[in-house]
Amino acid sequence: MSSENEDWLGEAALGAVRGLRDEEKKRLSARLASVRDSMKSLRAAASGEEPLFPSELEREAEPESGPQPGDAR
Amino acid sequence: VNPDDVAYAPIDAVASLLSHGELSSEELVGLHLERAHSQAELNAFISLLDEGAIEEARRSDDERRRGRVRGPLHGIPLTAKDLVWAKGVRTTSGSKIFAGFVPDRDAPVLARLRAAGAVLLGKTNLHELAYGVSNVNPHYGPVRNPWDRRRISGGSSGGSAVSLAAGVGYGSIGTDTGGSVRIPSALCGIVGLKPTYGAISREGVTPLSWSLDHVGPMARRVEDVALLFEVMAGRNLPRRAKSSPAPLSGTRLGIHGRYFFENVDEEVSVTVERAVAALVSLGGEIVEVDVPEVAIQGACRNTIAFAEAASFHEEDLRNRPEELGADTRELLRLGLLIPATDYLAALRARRRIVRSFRNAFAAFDVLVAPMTPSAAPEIGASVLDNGEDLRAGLLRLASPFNTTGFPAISLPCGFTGDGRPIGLQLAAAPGQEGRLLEVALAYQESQSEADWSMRRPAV
Repeated sequence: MSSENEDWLGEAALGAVRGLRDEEKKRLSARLASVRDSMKSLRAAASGEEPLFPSELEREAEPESGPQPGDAR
Repeated sequence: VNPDDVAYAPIDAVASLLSHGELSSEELVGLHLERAHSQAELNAFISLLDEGAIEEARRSDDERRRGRVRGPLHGIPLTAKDLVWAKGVRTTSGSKIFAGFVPDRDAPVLARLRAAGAVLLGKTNLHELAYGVSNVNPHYGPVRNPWDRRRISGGSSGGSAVSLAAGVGYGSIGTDTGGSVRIPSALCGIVGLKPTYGAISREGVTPLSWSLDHVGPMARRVEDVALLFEVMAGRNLPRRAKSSPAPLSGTRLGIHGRYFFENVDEEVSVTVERAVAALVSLGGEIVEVDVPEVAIQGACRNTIAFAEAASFHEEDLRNRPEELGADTRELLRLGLLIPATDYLAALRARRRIVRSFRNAFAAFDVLVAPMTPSAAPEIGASVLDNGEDLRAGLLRLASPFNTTGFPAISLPCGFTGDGRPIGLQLAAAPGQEGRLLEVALAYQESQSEADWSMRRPAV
C-alpha cells in the first residue's frame, strides 16, 4: 500500500470522529498508535485460537445446586 | 449504644439489634442518612433517597412486627453504584447524558437484595460511565477519599467505597470492568469482591464492556461481603465448621513475583509480604508461579474494552460529544478507531490467556498479590507514587482477572506511613469464591490485633 493510501485511511478513520480539534486529533492518534503497537504481541498469541466469547466464560459460574441463601440461617 | 459503633458494625450484629427490637430499621436508616448528609463534601452520592428510604424502612419494621422477616438483610440499609437500575430512581451512570434516566424496574441484582430485606439508601457516585479509575467526575464532583480528602477514592465504584469507609450503609453493589470494585476498595480500606464472570446478573446494569463487566459486593468486613455475594448470586457458600489455629492448612498460595510484585511501592510490597507471612503462619504453603501470558493481558483487555465501550455509547458519542467529560470522550473516540480485526485478535488471544491461567491455577488455590502498586494519589495527579501512569498503574494488577473472568477480592492489610490504606488481592479459579472468601476471612481474623478493617477515618 502506498503511503498516500495510508494517509487516506488514517484521515478517513479520524474523520469518523466529529469535531476534533488539531490538538485532540494529535493526542488521539498517538494513543491509537500505542494501542495498535501493543497488538503485535496479541497477534502472535491469537494465532491458531478461536475467539473467546462471554458465554463460554459465563458457563464457569453456573450456580451450584442446593439450598438458597438464607436457608442455613 | 454509640451511633458510630452501630454505623460501623458488621451486618449480623445490626441484624441482631433489629431482631431483638433494640433498634428499628427506621432509626437505622435515619442514622445513615444523617451521616451521609453530614459528609456531603465527600461526594460519595449522586442521589440519596431520604423519604423513600425512610418509607421503605417503616415498611420493613411493620413487616417485622407482623412476624414477616424477608431474609438476612431485613431492614439493613445498602447502597448501589449509580449505574444499577432502581425502579423510579434516576440512574445517571455518572453521566450528564443519562441525568434524566429513570428506570421502570430494578436490576435483578438489586431486586434480590430487596427480596432479602435490604433498604436502598442511595445511589453512589462513580467515574463517568464507569470508564475510569480516578472517580474525578466532571458532572457530580470528585469523590474524595475519607482517609485524606485531597486524594482520590479510586474508581469506578468510588462512591460505594467512600460511603462504606465513612460508615454509611452496610454494603454496596459495585461493578468491575478492569478493577472498579477492587481498586477503590483498596484505596479506601474496605473489602470488595469481583466474582467469576457471570456469577451475578448484569441485567439492568449500564454496560461498559459486556465481556469484561462484573457486578460485585462491597462492604467493610469479609463476612459481610460473603453474605451479600450469596444473596446477589443466589447461591450458598460452604460454611466453615469451626475456627482452628491453622485454618489454611493445605492451602496452596500462589506468588507471582514477576509482574504482580514488580514496580510496587516499597511500603506496599513490605505490607503485602507481611500479609503473605501471616497466611503462611495460618498453614498456607507458598507455590512460586509464573504465567507468561500475563504480560499481554493488558493489551487484550484494553482492546476489548475500548471497542465494546465505543460500540455501546457510539450514538451518544457521535451526537452529543460535548456532554461527555474530556477523558471519557477521548477513550470512547479511541474505541471507534479500533479495527474489527484487532478486536477479534484480542478475543482470540484471550482464549490463550484464560487457558494459561487455568493451567497455572491447577498448581495452587489462591493467588496472593498487592491490589494496587501504590496507595491513593492526590486528586488531579496523573501518576502514582511509583511513577506509573495513574490509569495504567491502577489497572495493572487488577485487570488480569477481568481478562480471565476469575474471581478476585481486595481486603485491607495495612496503611502507609501517612495513613493511606493498602489493599491485599486474592484471586482463585472460576467458581471458587468460597475458597477465596475462606482465605480472606482467615486472614482478617488473624489480624485481630491490628484489625485493619475496623479502623475508621476521621469523618
